[in-house]
Amino acid sequence: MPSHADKLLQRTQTLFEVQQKENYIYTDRIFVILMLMQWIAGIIAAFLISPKAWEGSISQTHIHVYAAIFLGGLLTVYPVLLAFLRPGSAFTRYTIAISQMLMSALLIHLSGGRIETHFHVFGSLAFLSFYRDWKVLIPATLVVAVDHWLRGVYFPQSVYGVLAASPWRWVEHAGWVAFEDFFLILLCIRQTKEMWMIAERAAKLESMNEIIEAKVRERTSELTNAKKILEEEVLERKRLESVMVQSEKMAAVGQLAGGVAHEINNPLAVILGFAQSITRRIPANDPLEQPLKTIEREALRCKNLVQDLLTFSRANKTEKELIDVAQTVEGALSLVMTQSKVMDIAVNKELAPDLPKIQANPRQVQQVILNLCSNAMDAMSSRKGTITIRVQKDSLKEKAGVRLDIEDNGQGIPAEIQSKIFNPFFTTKEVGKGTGLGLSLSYEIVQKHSGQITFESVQGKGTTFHIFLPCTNGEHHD
Amino acid sequence: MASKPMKVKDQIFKLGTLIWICAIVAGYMILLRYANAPGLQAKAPPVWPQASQIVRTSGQPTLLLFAHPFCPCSRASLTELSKIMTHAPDKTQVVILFVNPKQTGLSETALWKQAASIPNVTVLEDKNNFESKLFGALTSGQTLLYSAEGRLLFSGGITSARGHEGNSLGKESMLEILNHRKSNLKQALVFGCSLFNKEEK
Repeated sequence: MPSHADKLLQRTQTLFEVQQKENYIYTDRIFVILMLMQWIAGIIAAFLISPKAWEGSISQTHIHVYAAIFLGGLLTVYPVLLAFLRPGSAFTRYTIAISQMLMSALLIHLSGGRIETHFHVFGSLAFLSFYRDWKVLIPATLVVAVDHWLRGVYFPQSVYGVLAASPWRWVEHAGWVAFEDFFLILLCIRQTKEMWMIAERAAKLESMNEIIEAKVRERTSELTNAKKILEEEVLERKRLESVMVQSEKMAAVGQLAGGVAHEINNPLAVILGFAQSITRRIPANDPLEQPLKTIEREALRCKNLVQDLLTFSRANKTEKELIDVAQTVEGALSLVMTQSKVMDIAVNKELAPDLPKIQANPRQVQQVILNLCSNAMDAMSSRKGTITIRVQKDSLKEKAGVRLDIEDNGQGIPAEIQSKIFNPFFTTKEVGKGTGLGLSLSYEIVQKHSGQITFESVQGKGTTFHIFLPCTNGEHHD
Repeated sequence: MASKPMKVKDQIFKLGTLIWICAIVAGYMILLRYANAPGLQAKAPPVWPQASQIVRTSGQPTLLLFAHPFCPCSRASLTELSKIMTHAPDKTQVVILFVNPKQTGLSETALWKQAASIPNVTVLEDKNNFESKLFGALTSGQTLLYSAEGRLLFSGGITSARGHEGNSLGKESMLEILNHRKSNLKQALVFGCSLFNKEEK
């Protein structure tokens, strides 16, 4: 595992090499332009200065014209090609350096050895220092030295103007070039150091940015989590508020319903008792038989309603015990089965084997199952359907318990009434068929067991009620 | 196996580079050979010929330079002559003689104008190549120096190569003679175009 310092050094090296390569390619391109221009300039110079060689009245194209075109072309085309085929490579750099110095020699020759043209040598060296690679100056200087040395040996008068030049005269010429080299090499070394420093700074900056970005990511993640928790808390608060409102509503309705039911229950029992007694005594086909049976039937319906109201009002007074949920569910389902067979509805049950015992009122739990199954069967009255009851171990807010899912493939609950289904006396059934207390009673029972009842419904596809009942709850046992 | 085409490519590249180097060396050699090939040396008379129509100033040495009006190499000779003039004593008669092979207006040529711009120099047309032939000049840039007494002191060119400016053996010898310093050499190679056609030589 490399250390931070090693990583930084490695990154600095990479950035430095990238920067160096870019500079090499950039300088190669500068030389492409320069070399093409000086080639053209050489040809123009040859045509202007020495277009023809004469012998009396006869002329022919001067050798300088051919030299400018062909020798100049050789010195230009090859390095230019290299600049495109191998940009930034050391070979290209050195070839350009050598060609450039040979081009200086050619231009000096074409200009007739004018002293001003010798500045091309020094200008070229300065241009070569653009590479910021002092090693490039070495072959360039060697070309100047070797050119002067060879010409001094073979054509001494062409270089030094004297036939018997000193064999060390070339050193003087190369010495002036080396004089310029000295400063250019210093410049190259300094610029290389600066490039390294820039790369080092960039690497450090990158490293700092990475650290900052990591911190930002960490903080953002923390904020996102905090936001999520906050949103959950808000949702929970809203849910609790809704539960409280519902509970208060239930309590008020329960109190009222209990009072009314209690007062009605006794007179109703008398009415029903007498109606049943008279019905049994009158002969068959008595004209009063039908009205009396109607009284009996309606009184029975009132009795059921009163019973519901009384159950509703007594939901608070729940006696809980440790119960076997599977057994409780089986008990409720035996009642459901009787009706489902008549209605040709299949009832599936999926009871997990490892269900824990829960503290609950078994009759009330059965009441909830009966209510929900009864509603499900009503929702599927017009078609063959299936009710599935799943019971499994679950937990809610770190509380262990069981979850009952009652799923039907009935017509579903329309979206516009989904918020009202737990309201007391809310019903979509025909008059006389439902009291509107089934779901609100179930809701009340689950709440009193510190549980939770939710549902999901897709219209036309069915509804699933999810009931969670904790194993234990902090409720006071009345 | 995959590197085989690369190897071939590299070898072609190396061969190309070698050919390139050889071509450059050959080109430079041809160019240098041409530049350093001297022209024919004058067979100048050792004493000033009486037949010459050039009017000499008595008591002064006379410097003659023969030039072809279109020879590009002679531009360097005239440049070097102007440099000699700045270092030579004032009392030197300098005459530049242009042959006229095409029988055109010489005064319009660039070399004539360059020659005429050198101070204290007389520029003349060498009609019918009379003086050139009299003094045996064959190559443009041929320079002759006669003493005040009419004795030949120097014969040769004052450039180091064809059309090449700069110090040369001839120029240095000329300056030594003019400044009355001893000079062992009285001749130097002359570089330039031929003054005459082959059949005229």
